Amino acid sequence: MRPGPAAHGKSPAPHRDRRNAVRRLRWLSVLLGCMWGAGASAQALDIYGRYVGELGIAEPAEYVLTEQGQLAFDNYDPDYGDPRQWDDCEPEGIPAILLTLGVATVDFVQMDGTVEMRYERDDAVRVIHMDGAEPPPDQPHTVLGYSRGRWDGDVFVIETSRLAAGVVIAQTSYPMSENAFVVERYWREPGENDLQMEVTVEDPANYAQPVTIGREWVFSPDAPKHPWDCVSLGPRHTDDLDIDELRRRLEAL
Amino acid sequence: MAAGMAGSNAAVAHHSFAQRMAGELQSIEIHEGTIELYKMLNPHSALIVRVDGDGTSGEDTAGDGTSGEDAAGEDWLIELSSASTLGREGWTDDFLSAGDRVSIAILASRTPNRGRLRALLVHADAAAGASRLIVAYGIRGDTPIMRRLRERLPTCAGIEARLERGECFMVEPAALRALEEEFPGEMGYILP
Repeated sequence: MRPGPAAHGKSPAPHRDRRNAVRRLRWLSVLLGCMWGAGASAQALDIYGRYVGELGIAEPAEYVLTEQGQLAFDNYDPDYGDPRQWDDCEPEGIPAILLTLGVATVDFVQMDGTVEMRYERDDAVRVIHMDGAEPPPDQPHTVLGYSRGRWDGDVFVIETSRLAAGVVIAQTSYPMSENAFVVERYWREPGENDLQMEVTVEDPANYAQPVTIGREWVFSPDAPKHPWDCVSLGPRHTDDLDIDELRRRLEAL
Repeated sequence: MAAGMAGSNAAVAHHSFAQRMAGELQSIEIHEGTIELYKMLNPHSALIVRVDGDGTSGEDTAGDGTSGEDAAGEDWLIELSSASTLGREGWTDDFLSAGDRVSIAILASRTPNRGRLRALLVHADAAAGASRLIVAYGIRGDTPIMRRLRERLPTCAGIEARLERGECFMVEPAALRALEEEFPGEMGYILP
């Protein structure tokens, strides 16, 4: 068993005052909506809109690794193993993209039969299938996997499988196999427009207990969300960095 | 690898101290130089800084007159946070400019002449003007370094450090002299 790192410090939510007015109006509309259509819809909350992830994430007190997981942990150096150490534009996957601290803006968008989660990071678009169907047999393992969504009362639940192997949190060594099953739960506390997220990684090959991490997503309808337009600065492990060539490439942007 | 890196950088490092990070020996190096390029990019913004040479070798080791360790110095690639993050904190495309004279603290990577920004002092154009001290992710937080800076220096207008990726202070000449006396050594005021 390996103690988890100290939880990243939570910072005060930005623009809290400005959001309060929006929050009250939005909560009122949700309340009125519930009164209007109570029991008539399988969806209890209007979660659609833009959110920015708080800087703090709540990690478990310890990651209870299996023997195989411990071996993988001990032998993984994120400064070499992370694909982004070689190419900045390698995409982050589930669940790491949910937990990245630097760029964490997402739009929840209602589509026909699906929900799309459109992240600023990597311009990633997750399709959350709401039809309850199992993943197609030929569904490949990818960094975003195959996601199914459902409502459990007021909680939006996303189950993701067919993931690519990697790590739970970018730039850490906590392993995740391609057979991992990731469950996200999103809900609102009473009177709040922000979303609480709890993401659980079930990966018996690496963990004797599921790993659960929490984060708050701040409702931020006015927050900017820019195209990612990724530019790689090149691999970090080379002895022949050609700065002149890089300079020419960057000046041409 | 770490030993090789340290050796390759030793010739131009004015000051360094060992720091264990991610299981690898890395070092923070302090340099003086001139910004050649500044670009806000995702996932990492970029600075290219021409670090001052020591003026003694006078050799164009690269043979192209544009790079290499020689009397004219050598170029360093320094990574900053993402354009998305810096933009939210108020950084703009002209927040830094080619030609700016800087003192710079870099967390060196394994690749020679590459590192991550830890602190940047952008020297004032005029002797009586205020410089800007930018302290980046890695030093930020409730640390002794940050506390000493916050106690002594006003912050830059227009930069909101709410994402904790960078913080900018205005440094008047007298305040800089006081910091240098109290925390001796090159950029000693941003070192532990």
